[in-house]
Amino acid sequence: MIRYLIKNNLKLMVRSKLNILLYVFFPLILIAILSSAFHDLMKQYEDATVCAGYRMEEGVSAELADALSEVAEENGIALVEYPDGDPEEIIRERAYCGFVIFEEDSYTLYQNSDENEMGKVLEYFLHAFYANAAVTRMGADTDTITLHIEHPEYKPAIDSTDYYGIVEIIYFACNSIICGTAVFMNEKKYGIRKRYQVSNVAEWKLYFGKFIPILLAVGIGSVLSAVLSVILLDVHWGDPLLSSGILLICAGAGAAFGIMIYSFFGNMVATVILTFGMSWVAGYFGGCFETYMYASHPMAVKLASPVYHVNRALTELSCMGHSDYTVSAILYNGGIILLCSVLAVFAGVLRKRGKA
Amino acid sequence: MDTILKTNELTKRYDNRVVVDHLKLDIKEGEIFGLLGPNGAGKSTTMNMITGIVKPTQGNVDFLGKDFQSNRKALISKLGYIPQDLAIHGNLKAWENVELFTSLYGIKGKQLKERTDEALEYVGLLERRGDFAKTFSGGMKRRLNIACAIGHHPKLLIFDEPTVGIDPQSRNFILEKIKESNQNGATVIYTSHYMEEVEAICSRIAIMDNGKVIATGSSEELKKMVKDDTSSITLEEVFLTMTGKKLRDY
Repeated sequence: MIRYLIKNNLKLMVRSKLNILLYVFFPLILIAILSSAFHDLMKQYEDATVCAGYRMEEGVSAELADALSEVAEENGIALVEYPDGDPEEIIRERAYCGFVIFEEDSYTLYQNSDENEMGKVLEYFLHAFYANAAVTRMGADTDTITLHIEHPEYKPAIDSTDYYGIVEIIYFACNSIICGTAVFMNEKKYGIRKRYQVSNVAEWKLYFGKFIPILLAVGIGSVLSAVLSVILLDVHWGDPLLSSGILLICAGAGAAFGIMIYSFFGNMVATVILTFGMSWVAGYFGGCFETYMYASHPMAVKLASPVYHVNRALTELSCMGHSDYTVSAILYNGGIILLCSVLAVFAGVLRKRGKA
Repeated sequence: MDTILKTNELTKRYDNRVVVDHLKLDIKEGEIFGLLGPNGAGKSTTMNMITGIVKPTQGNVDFLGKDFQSNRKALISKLGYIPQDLAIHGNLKAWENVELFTSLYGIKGKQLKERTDEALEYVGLLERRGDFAKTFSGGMKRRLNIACAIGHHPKLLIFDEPTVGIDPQSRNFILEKIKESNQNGATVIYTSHYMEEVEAICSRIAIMDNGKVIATGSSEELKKMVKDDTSSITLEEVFLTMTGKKLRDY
């Protein structure tokens, strides 16, 4: 009998125009808006070059000064000479990440506290340059010495369209319970629940009779939305099978949580508010509205959000081809499905026993 | 006639309010039993306890000679419940509604398809099987509501005000079908506020008030309880005499 429950509940969900709008087209609209709105912000990080001022004090060899300019340019670091002036004032006026005063055998670095990342790059560059210079002075062959400036690992390699293209579809998938409202509301409004009570249908069958259709409907909608995001907005997704699987598990977690809440309260409005509220909080800390790379939330809070694992896994799959968060995304969201399913069935049985 | 359903001291209390008070009903196999009562008399609660939707505070229901609560799993498929609400999905087609609710009794595959069509034909909706329920008129929805509860061939059919808000033709059709079901062997419990309907189809009638049965008998027997000359009194007058004219839901 569960086959017929799944089949007909699925029909009810996919026949709802609101569901089609919500899971296929709304994410696309949001992707277009957010990726455009945050384009400049992310571009700033993508195209960022290290700009700093410097001054050569007396005693610094001309050779060192030339080498410094040359190597800095090769590594995308713009150094602008200021023979005079207060370093702090120059940093403030020019928004430089730092200012360096070179002396005969040492240097002094002033860093801009608002540009920590760039400051670290400059610091590393200077450190590497002086180390190489010391080796050169000891008579090593300068041709064999190469200078590498490495960008910090947390620097994003994903653009705003790809980022928001992925995370917004995830966010809508998290709110998968809304897809089930067509069934839940009808059941309550028209007393259909009574028909289930006057039958042999077990509580777990009623649960999966809703969970599976929600999963399928949202899964189909999200994958369709993802395909459209590729075609219309040129969003780049990672491994299609793995990404779809993680997206489906995420939708499942949202559905299981929502059905559990409905089993507790028996009220669809309360369910939607609570589920939406939870997914908003999880999304807020998980990078759905602000890119997780630049969010200032503590790491422990980010890791507590199941959405963070999914966002991170799918965006890293997109830009790096692999992600250390794939397993945690599957396990965390899979765990939510398991726990919420057990509690939802348990609550349903208790509710039934209280009445029947 | 054998007893098919019996309620023993059936009681339901909500906090300190007694809704059904030590109710004793004895429904015989093959009869159409009418249950009448003003609003708040306890009819719906009684129905809900008989069908297992509501748990009694006290007492029990015997169905086919067995305690219904403890043998629920085995007995539930012998029962068909037509709720007062139109318990159908508007966004499902007629056949999909019947298929869904008939499948709840373990019927599947080819048999389910046959039973679905049979139920739709029975209520005169076979030709509209592919139409969405939301496009149906009130009378058609009522008929579909019935079709969803008979596909599993129950022995006892419980109708909870099945003719509310429909035209005389649809009402007549439904009443004829109830009689036909009864002639085919089904026992029927029927509740309604329409006295003429109850009088027309029920072989025995119980009048309930304040959670208790205050009179039971055929239409003629009930009339005799109030007036010797039964030809000059209607069932409605009997009902009003027994339950009073005071509004119950003010």
